This record gives sequence, C-alpha cells and structure tokens, in this order.
Amino acid sequence: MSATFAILATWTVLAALGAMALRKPVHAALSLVGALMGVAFTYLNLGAEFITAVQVLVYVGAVAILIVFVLQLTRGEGVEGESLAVQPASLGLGIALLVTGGLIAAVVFLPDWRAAWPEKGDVALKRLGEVLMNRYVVALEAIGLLLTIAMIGAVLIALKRPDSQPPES
Amino acid sequence: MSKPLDFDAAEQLAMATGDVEPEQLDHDAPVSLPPPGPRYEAVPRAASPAIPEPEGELLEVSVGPHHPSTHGVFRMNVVLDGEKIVQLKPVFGYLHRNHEKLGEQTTYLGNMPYTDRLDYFCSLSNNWAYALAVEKLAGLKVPERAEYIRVITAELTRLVNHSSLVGFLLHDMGTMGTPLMYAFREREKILDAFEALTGARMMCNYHRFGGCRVDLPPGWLDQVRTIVDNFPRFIDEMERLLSENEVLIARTHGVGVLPPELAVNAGVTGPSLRASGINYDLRKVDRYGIYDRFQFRVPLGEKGDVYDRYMMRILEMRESVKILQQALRDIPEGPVIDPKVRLRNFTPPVGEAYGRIEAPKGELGFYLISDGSKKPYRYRIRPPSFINLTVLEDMCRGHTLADAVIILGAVDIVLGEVDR
Amino acid sequence: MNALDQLFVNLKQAIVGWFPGEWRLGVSVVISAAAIVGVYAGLFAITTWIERKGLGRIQNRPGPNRVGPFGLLQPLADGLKALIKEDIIPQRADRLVHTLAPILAVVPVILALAVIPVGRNMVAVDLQAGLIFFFAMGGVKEIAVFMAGWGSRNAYSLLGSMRAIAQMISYEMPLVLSGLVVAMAVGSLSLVDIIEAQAGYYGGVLARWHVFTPWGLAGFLLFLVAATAEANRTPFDLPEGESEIIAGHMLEYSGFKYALFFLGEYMGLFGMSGLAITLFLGGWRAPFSFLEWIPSWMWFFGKLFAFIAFFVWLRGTLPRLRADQLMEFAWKFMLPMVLLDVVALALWQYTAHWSVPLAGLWRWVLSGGLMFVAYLGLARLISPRRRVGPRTYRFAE
Repeated sequence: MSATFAILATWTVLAALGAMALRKPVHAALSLVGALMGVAFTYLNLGAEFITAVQVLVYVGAVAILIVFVLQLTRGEGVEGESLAVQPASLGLGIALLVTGGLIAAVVFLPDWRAAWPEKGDVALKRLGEVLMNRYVVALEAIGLLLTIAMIGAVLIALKRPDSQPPES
Repeated sequence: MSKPLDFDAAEQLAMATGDVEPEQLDHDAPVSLPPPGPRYEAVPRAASPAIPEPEGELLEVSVGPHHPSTHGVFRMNVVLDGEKIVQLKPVFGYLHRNHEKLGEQTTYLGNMPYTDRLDYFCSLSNNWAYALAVEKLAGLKVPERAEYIRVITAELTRLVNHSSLVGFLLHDMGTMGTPLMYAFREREKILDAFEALTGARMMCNYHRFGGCRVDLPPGWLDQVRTIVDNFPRFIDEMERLLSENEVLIARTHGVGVLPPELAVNAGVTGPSLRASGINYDLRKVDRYGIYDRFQFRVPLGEKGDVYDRYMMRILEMRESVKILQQALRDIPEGPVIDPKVRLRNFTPPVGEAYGRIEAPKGELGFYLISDGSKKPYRYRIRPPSFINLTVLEDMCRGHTLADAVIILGAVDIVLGEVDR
Repeated sequence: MNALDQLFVNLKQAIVGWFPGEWRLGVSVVISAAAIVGVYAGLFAITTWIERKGLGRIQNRPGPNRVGPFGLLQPLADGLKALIKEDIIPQRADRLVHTLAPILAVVPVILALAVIPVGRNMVAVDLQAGLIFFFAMGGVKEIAVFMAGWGSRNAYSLLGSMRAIAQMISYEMPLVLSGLVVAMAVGSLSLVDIIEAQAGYYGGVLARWHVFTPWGLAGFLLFLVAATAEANRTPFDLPEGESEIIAGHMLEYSGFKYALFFLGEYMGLFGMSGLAITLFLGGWRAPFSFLEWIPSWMWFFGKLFAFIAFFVWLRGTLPRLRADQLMEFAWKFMLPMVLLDVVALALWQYTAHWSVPLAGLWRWVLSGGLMFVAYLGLARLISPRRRVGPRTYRFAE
C-alpha cells in the first residue's frame, strides 16, 4: 500500500463518515462531495484519468449539485438538526457491513475478478470506447433510453398544465 | 412615426384618456373625438391582493436602502416566489429633510434655494414651479424675456434629466455605465451652460418671483444654440445604439405594463402616464408660461411598458430640442425681472395658490397658503416621483427581481423629491 | 529562432538537470506548477488593467492613470488594498464553508489550466482525457459557488449562487458538446493531440485550423457564447448582476477572499479562452505559414490577449439578459445548434473523399448550409422581435 493511497483512503473514509454523521444536511452533502473527490483521486492514482474526469464531472458536477439543489428547495422541512444516518444505527451498520463484506469477498474469492487486474495502469481510452460501442452497445443504448424516459417523466411531473383548474378552497 | 393628430388642446383635458385604439386610427381622416367628460371611473385601489399559495417557499429580500440600483436610499421589501415577485413594498423616508416644514419657517425668497434640492437633477424646473405658485399668490407678471429664459432653462433641464435617465436605465440593465457615460458627456455641456448662468452646476438657483435673477451672460445664447443644434446627433447616436438592441428589446418589451386606468386612478403623471397612451401634458393643458407659442408635439405610448417609457424619453427630447430652437430664435431683448417686485421682505396678500408645471418627471406642484406674513402659512409639494412610485408594486408583481430593478429605473425617481 | 521557441522548455530542463536523479520528477512538477500559477496570476493583474483601461476608453474616460505610468501599477495597488483590508466573516455565517469557498473557487481553475498547452512542448500535464478533465474541473467550481452562497447566510448570496449554478449547468451542456465535436473529429480527448491535428496549411499558406471548416466555425461561435456564459461575462453576468443582486455569491466576502474569487473568475476566463484557442484556433500554431518564425508561446498568449480584448469589448457594450431568457437561449438555441453541429461534422467527414469538381465548395455548402439554415430558423424562433413587432407612436399636437 503506497502512502498516496493511504492518504486518499483515509480521506475518503473520513469524508464518508462525515456525510453520515454531520448534523446539517448541507454539511453532510459537502462531506459527500469530499468523499466522491477522494474516490476520484484514487482513480487518478491508479492511472485511470478518464474515469477520474468522468467521476468528477458526473458525481461532483452533477449529482452533488442536484443534492444541494434539492436541499435548498425543500429547506425547512424538518431535517435540519437531525443526523441523516439510518435509524436505528445498528440497522445501517449491518447493511454497510454486509455490502462491504460482499465486495471484499468478491475480490478475494472470485477468480474472474482477480484475473482482470491490469498490468499497466494505463487504460487506453480508445479501447474503452471500442468496447462500449461494440460489445456493450445494446446496454449503452438501453441506459440512454432509460435516462431519456426518466427525463421526460421528470419534465411531465414538473410541467404545469394550463388547463387544470386549481382546487376550490 | 405617425402623423400628428389634430387635437384641440381645450378638449384634451376632457379626453385625457387616450382610449383611441391605435388600430382605429386613420391618420389622414379627421379624428372623431369621444364625448367630453371623465372617461374613467374612479376605482378605489384595493389593498394588496392576498399572496397566492406558492409552490415553494417564499423568500423575503430587502432590496436597499444601500443597493446599487435603488437610485438613492430607497428600500423595496420584496417577497419572492422563486424569482417571481409576489409582493413589493416600497419603504422610503431615509432622506426625509423636513422640507415642507422648513418652508413654513422660512421667507418666500429664502425657500427658493431649498427647492433646488428636491429633484437635484432638475433644479431649474423646481425653481420655476415654486416661482409660478408664488406669482399666482401675489399676482405678479413676468417680463417677456424672462419667460423665454424660463422655457429655455426648463427644456435644457428636461434634456439633462431624460438623457441621464436613459443612461441610468441601461446601467440598471447591466451595461457597465457605457450609455450613462455617453449621456453624461452631453449633460456636461448643458451643465457648463448652467454654471455660466447660475454659478452652480447642479443646485442651480436662478428663477425669482416676477422673472429671473440676472440677465444672461454675454455669449450664453450662442453657447446654448451650439448645444441644442448638436443635441439631435446625440439622440440619433443613442437611438442607433439602443432602440433596436436585441437585448434591450428582450428586457423591456412587455415588462412593467401600467394600464391606463390604473395610471389615471393613481395620479401618475409625466412620461410614465403618456407611455400608457394618455394624452396629458401640462405644457399643453395649462399652457403656463408661454408654451402656447411653440410648435411641439406630445408623444404617446402604445403599451405602457418599460420600452414605451424609454421611447417617451427619447421622443420628448426631440420635441424639447424643437422648443429650444424656437425659443432661442424668438427670444426678445428687455428686462428679466419686474422692477416693482420687492424680493426682500416679500409679503404676498392673504390667499392660496397652486402652481404646477410639467417637470421632466411629471406634474410638479407647489401649494401655498399665505396669511399675509413673510412666511407661508402652509407649504405643500406635489412631487411627481413620489406619486409615480405608488404604482410600483402593481407594475412589478409577477415579474422577476431583475425586472423590478428596471421598472423602478424607468419610473425615474429622485429620492430628494420622494422623501423631501 | 528555435532556441527562442523552446527557451522555456530548455530552461526547465537545465534547472531539472542540476538536481540528482531521484529529485528530478518532483522538481519538474514544482516548476510546472509554479509557472502556471505565476504566469496566469501575472496575466490576471495585467487583465484587470486592460479591462479597466479598455472600459474607460469605451466610456469616454481615461481609466486608471494615477498609479505608475499609464496606471500600470494599479493592479499592484489593488492587490495591496485587498491584502490589508479587514477580512469580515458574518456572525451567522458558516465559518468553515465560508472560508473554504474562495479556495475551492481558485484551485480547480488552476488545475484545469494545467492541461492547456501554451506552446510547442509546453504543457504541464498531457492527460489522455484532458478535455474531459477541463470540464470536470469546471464542475467543481459549481460546488465552490454553492458553498459561498450558502455559507454566507444572506438571501442575495443564496439567490446569486442558485442563479450561477443553474446558469453553469445549462451552459455546460453546449460547452461540453461543442468541445466533443472537435474530439470526434480528431479522435482524441488529449489537447496535445487536438493541436497536432490542426497542423499543416491549406495551399501552403492558411493554417488547417478547425475554425476554417464549416462545423468548426459554427462550433467555435457556439463554444464562444457558452464560454462567455460559463465565465460569467456580459451579457451573461447574471450571477454577479451588480445592479440586481449586487455581487451574488461574493456579496459577503471582503479583502483577500474577495480577491480570490476574482482571481478564480479571471483564471476561468483564461481557461475558457485557452480551450477555445486549443480546440478551434490551432493552439500555439501560427495562422499563416510565413509567420511561423514567431515563437509558439507568443502565438498562444497573443491569441489569449485577443480573447481578453474581445471580452472587455463585450462588457463595455452589452446589457444583461434576464435569467429566464438566458435559460431559453441555452436550451432552445444553443443545445439544438450544437447537436446539429455534430451532424454537420458527420457530413463534412463523409464527403472528405468526394472527387466531383469543386468538391471543397460543395462540402462547404452542404455542411455550412445546414448550420446556417438551422441558425436562421432557431434565431427567428427565439428572437424577441418575432413576438413584439415594430411599434408606432402617436403624437398629440
């Protein structure tokens, strides 16, 4: 384990804990951003530049922003001051342990996963593109379609219908 | 530009309604005038309507008193639903200087310089309105030359006010003050002329009861002639840069519409009223001074939005230039003040008078009651900016905060006059 | 000539060479980082002077002219003023978030600047995914804006930051897509490769820059508009909107923190300009073959200054749009145009091997015509004039 990885791992874990434990929702969200950045830099440490950039672009630039936007829009609806962690704590801890244990077990015991470890840290971007556009093209298109449907659905929900009458009060 | 309408000025006050639909207008055919009489029912203005149920949470913002675009120490308590304004309460009085009470403690002449400070952009118009009220009270006659000088100074003031206003309005839209600096370049020339005439650049104090303080300095008329002859070029430049600007059109069209009914009922005057299409200009209605001698037209707006209010200023500047050219051509020689008027120890007879003029911002009126002493018993001002400001909420509701800023900018207020 | 061109590269190699073997990597990194921070911070100082002087000339006034010759030392005085000013943190503000925000506003911008090549062999890090990395760093800036707005506990700050974020997200879409059009044409996300792809000259004279192709011209203009919005410059400077929400998310900042925000803003501007130069204007390449004797880094910074002058000019002349108009423009005009630009690129590439007479002209007509027709249609759709029409004014005699 290199020193860089140790620093990044500690940072990521601490930030993730902060995201769970901090009292103010915005603090928790910002802490989550820290954890995501830690993961991104871990990718960079492994030589996956493209994945780093995409991680930052998607998770920090879009998902985290979405979270803080939602927090702003639903401000004052009773979450302020309470920890966002799952209650009771044992349940959350149990789920977390289960997921972590599963991941570790998969890496340690499944032969396929160990074999895929690349020798060189440099994942060729071209190869990634070719694989996505050839072998996994159906999956890629399906995801694209799913996201489009989700977006249209969101627009439909948000759309004010001009013909609908406000309820008489 | 449409052809001028042949309105009889006497019937104008009666039909100060402008409810002639633009599409009905055939400029060549004789215009059928509506029957005289008030065209609008006086509708008491309801209190602010209840705030509709918002979708999200309402945000209360206090815009001002120290805000770059409130044009002085003025505050708007705004309630926002997202970026939409649901309620706007103007709060003023930060610049209250006890002007009216001071006027009652001061002699008639001593009060004259205070009037400069009302609307500090148009000190000479203020002078004139006050002088007019006192002259009505004391029954004074003004010499011919003084009347011409008054018209010249008042119209120059209008040019100063309108050009600066367009600059400020664009500054509110975020142009980094470029149009404002262009306007100030022209304003400087006029202020130079004012300085030569009155000794002051902004707080000009020149009109007196029964005329003007002193005669014009030598060469002053030529100086003003040069300014006036060059002014249309500036207006053309401004129009070329602004009137067709895509962003300006997008920002101002349909923003802050003031319906004519509301404008009349709220007592709005000046370019804001005329932008709503109502033909009411005191220079035509009262024909105070010698305005009946000049050929000029009163521009009328179509929609009553910010763009119309902007265009009113541009078009009025063009008309002012016309008046100025005629006045500068016709100005006679002679005394500038009635020698019989004793300015010191001035005591008008018992009575009351209301003098009003078409100030650049609207109807500026001074109401005086004299008890026969050296000081007025009651001194009251009808400030146009203050009364035009009362419809601010009606114009802003439903628009965004960014629009409120330019709507306020187009109302054209000076806090010295609003708060007095 | 070549010595001058490679002056800084050789200088760095010489300095690195003085150190023992195991130090060299670290020293090289430090020199590159120091060069980026130093050069762009110096450029920031010069830019503030250019901006104030330029705005002054546009507005019939001299601009700063008291400090030093032609007011050239004005940035120094401003910096000193910012340093010695009291640093105020509002009592109810979130101290940590409030303090972190200005730092976070500057750091990602500097990181983004590191991937832009400023001359031949002069790039701090040549990332394989340099283009995406640049845009990702722009995404981190949004977090900084939010932190500044939320951490200040001020309604204006919050409004301003929400506006800023909404605007940044909306314009990131056309920005990234117009960048990706170039990446598709070149087949690489590395900025060095993209400049490499623009080597050579048409007819031995005019450089083969992307901007000299129909899709590149359209892409460049779209990118420029989106970059203006992304860098918060007029007419898209709503997040700052001095006359409306005062300084937006920067309202509660004073002293050096405020200066840091400005540093971030201007460095973001340099980054956007640098990226536009890299993607469409051949990076550090000369526009004509006979001008190649000018060092490559001079070309880059010359183009950068041209961009700065352009942005100052815009700022001095245009009013500001409203938030909803801004969004309308982004989603109804910019986005379809950028997507059509991909089609235009495809047309251009598929017709690359045509052998009909006047093939070049026909390709231009096909690819450029598509963009032009789309522009005409969409511009009419969103133009305010379509809705209002000309006005007539009546006059009462």
